[in-house]
Amino acid sequence: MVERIFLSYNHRDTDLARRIAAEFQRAGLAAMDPDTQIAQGASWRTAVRAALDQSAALVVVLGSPFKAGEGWLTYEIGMAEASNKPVIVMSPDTHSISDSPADFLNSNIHTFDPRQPEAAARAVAHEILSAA
Amino acid sequence: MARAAKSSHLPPGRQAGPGSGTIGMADALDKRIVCVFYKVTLNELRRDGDGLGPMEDMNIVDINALDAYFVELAQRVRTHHG
Repeated sequence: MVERIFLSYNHRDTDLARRIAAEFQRAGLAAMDPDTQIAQGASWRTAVRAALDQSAALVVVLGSPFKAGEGWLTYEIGMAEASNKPVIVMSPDTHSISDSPADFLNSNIHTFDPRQPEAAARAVAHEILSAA
Repeated sequence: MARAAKSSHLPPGRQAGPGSGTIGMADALDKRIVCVFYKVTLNELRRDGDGLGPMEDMNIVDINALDAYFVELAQRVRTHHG
């Protein structure tokens, strides 16, 4: 059975998130991407919860510094924590995430070389699959 | 409830998305949620990143006019009691 993970990211990081999702797929992890898999007009909160329920972990791609008002990322982290799902934050080493909200800093953080997100994705996938 | 990003110049209510992580936790635990806004308005939040984000379809109570309400209440009390 293919393990699923919930992939959380901001729209400005879509390209990076999709590269990571493709590598997850190659490693045997199906990335649930809310941006493409939640029907327009559906209740996002309900859909996020359903997707998280089916996921082994939440992976947050923080491709650029956190900006004010990005409520969905922190919402999904809070929901994952309360659901006892592992939370992994993936962030390029080109920027610090120390100014991000505590929700991010309390997570399992993977920093990586932005030229090689695939290598980071393989390491994260290995970690998730080993724990499953 | 709101978690402040250390370097932001924005008021705490507009930084991480006010209490978004807490709202996510409450949703996961099937808790009833009421958002109370003070010193931040719906319009201000709508202009930020995700807009109202998870709060879009929630029960929201705006108490930004609380100070004006207390002033008015004090005037009424004074008038009533001469």
